[in-house]
Amino acid sequence: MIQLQSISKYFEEVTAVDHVSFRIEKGDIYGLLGPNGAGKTTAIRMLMGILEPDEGEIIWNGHTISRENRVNFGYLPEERGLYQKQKLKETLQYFGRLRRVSGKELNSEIDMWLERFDFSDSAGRKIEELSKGNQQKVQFILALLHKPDFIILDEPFTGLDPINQVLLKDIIQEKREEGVTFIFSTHQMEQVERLCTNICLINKGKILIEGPLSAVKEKHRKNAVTVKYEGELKNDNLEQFIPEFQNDNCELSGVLKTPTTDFLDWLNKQVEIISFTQSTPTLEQIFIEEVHSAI
Amino acid sequence: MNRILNILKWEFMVRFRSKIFLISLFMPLILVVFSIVPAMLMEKGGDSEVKVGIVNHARHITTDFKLNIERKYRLDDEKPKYWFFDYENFDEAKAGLLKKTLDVVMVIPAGIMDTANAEFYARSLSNFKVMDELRNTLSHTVILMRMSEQGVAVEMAESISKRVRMDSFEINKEGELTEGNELMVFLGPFLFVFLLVMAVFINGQLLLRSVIEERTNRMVEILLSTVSARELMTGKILGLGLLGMVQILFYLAMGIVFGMVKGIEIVRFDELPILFMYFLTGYFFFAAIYATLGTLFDNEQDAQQSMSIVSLIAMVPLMGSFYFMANPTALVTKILSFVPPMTPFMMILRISSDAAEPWEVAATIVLMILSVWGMMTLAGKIFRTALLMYGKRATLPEIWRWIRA
Repeated sequence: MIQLQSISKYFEEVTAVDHVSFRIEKGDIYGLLGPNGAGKTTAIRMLMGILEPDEGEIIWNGHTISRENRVNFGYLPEERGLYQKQKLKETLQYFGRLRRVSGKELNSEIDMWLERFDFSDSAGRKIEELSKGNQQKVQFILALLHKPDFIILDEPFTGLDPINQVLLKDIIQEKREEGVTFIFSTHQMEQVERLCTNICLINKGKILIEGPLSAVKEKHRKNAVTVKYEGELKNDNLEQFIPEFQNDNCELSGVLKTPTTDFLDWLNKQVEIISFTQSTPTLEQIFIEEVHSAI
Repeated sequence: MNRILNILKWEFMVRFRSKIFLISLFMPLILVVFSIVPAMLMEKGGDSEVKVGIVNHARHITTDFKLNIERKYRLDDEKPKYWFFDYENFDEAKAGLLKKTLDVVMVIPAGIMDTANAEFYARSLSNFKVMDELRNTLSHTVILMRMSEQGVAVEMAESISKRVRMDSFEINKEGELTEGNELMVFLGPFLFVFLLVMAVFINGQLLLRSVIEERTNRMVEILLSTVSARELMTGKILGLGLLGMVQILFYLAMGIVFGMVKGIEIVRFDELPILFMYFLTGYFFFAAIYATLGTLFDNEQDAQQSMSIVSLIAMVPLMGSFYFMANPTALVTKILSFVPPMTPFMMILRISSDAAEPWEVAATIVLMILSVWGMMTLAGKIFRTALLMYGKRATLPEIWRWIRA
């Protein structure tokens, strides 16, 4: 179990993370979401010990986290690179040793992952000879090699073809079943919906929504509307009811911020309503709505 | 500690196996060869015929002058080195020089006995060996003629004007004598300092490149999630320091082999521990600076400008080595020995000249250890903060804030 207790980080006048608290249980896949510059990377860097929080505390299994605990963490940063001139297997060995795996155990782990990712013939090749997608898979192996208890994946699917995306998802699910805890940060909301059990949406360093994905969706369920109509519906006054909407081909969708009756009264005067449905919003819709309403 | 060792090993092996290391290992030797061999060749010979046009207004002197030259300077096949052609006026001789039928022209005026002035012309004055030989022989001839005019017999004049030869010997601490070789006595320490400076800068450069590479390819994110910034910096500096030691040992082995072949003692073995101490402290001092510079710049080109200022300071002992070795106890030499970036190089020059007092050696080593500690502490503070700053160049007030933090 990992818990952030009101952690904050300041860079001169900028508050990158503002009293953020959440708790992730063992075996959870926790979605950390937010627009660019929301403070996700800073929060992740504090979790990994790359940055120290200015305020607050991080708790790991009931105790203040230490560097020793973090040896068993895996990390796939969003901004990634590798030693281009070095050989694949040697690079994996170096990072394995830094994470305190060595000898036969390290080599058998490396061989297993190389085989799993179809790299068995590339072990002696230089990193620069691998394609970008394959380099990304190498970075994924680096995050898993030392059998971590807790893994942070920042945009793990970017740049991967669909086959490798499936492979990655399978591995994440397998590891989860083994009890590994994940933080999964991405802008791909459909991936979060498929993988995560809990989410945290932050913006400008503050938490906007936090909790189980199902509860978050339930909370927003009543407000997501889809209307099919006939006639011409001008966008001008729509924003007072639905701040972020899609209005194409006589179909309007978005998350309603006013009472449904008020909206329907107004809409009836504008167009002829063919159908009206209130559906569970997508995570993307919730994301956009929450971020905009926080501005 | 284990993590530092892993980083050390990785940095050492990665650079040791690279082509850049091989090139950097031999580059200083190539530079040394290129700077010494021409001088040695010039000293040794490689002589060829020189055609000298003489605009002769003092025949009584030139006859003796030509004889003296012919007697003194011969080619390997015993043929005369200098061939003389007389001219009545300078214009004819000059034409010969321009048509390349002559190599040089000398104008010997009638009043040379009184004025002691002659003129020398060549298409290029770069061959100062030819000029030296002609001038020295002419001067000697004029002196003999003057003596002869004063009634001194030729044999006596030769005897009077005979130059004193001074054989030189070096006495080591045990009182043993070795025949002096001035060139090597000077070149030995100079070369050692030169190779030391090169080793410090080559490895400093490798360190800088390594830090910049890890920052630009973002490997630093993964590394810092595994090791602390201090462990990373220490591992890197030690790894490349070890590489520098390998380089120095290689040069030393080459020097010892050369010394054995030539029968010269290039480095005194009892001084080696002190010399290594200066190398290590000098390397660590500059390595801390280079590691820091690596965090402050996003590419090597930008870092080069700041590096050149640092390099220039360390180059002072090398550039002034002629003066410092000739004046090892001068006030300026002593003062510069206590200026940390220059201390290791200055002290090696002074120890080689046997002009450093034991207290100075002890004091400068303590000074360097303290300077390294101070520099590493400063570097550690900047390194930790600047390592994760991308795309934004740190300002001096910012750096000052990190140091004070």
